[in-house]
Amino acid sequence: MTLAPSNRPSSGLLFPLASEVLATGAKFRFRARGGSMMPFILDGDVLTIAPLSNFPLFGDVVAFRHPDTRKLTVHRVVRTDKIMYLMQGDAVNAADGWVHAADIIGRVVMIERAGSSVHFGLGAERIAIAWMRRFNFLWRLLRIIGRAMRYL
Amino acid sequence: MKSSYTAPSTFDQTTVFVPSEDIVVREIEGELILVPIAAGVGDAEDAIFTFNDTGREIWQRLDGKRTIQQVIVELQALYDAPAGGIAEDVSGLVSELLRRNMLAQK
Repeated sequence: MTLAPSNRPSSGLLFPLASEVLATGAKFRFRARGGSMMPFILDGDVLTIAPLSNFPLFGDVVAFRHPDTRKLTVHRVVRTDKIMYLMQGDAVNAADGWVHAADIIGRVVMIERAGSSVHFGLGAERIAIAWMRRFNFLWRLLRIIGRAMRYL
Repeated sequence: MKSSYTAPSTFDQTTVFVPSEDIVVREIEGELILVPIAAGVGDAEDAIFTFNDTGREIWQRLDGKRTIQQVIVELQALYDAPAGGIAEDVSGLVSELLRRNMLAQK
């Protein structure tokens, strides 16, 4: 067969593909791998990334080229400094490092999980999540909520 | 060298085709990967394609400069193969690409 469906590209190949698709003005849809954005993005969720129409804002969940691995990564903006952005996974204690605006290619606009759309973590609450992540009490709060829910 | 075989097709072999504007093609690690863009979304989860070697040779000649007949003649020379088989491959791939809106008539 001269034309065949391809396997899902590896994480190393996603960044160039995503960059080219987003550069056309189209969105890019792909399956997330890993748990660094738990509980808001889970391993296996399908994400849709839209091209940036303005500079990323504090709390936005964005797709960028990781400063160390150089792979496509989706994490949250926890600090900004002109055209540099500090990224961090919601479930990760250490930040990724500062990322130049030119290495940020899009913003997550949809999360699909088990056939349904999930938006929690992308709306107005994203600012509170980023504050809690930056000052390291996001997971403390989530554990407290988890314990409280056991008694309900 | 002229091909003496006219492959059955649903399009005119004097037609010149170009890649659709609604497609992203990228060579990554030696593989040609195509991501069609449908309804404003390039879908790497459910709709991503790749060519085998023959498909890649055909695709690279669908560049808006050659008719289908010229593509067949070039590939016949490249592979030193009977015109019928080459024409079938070319017609089959072009039909599939047209069906998936990955190719447009110039």
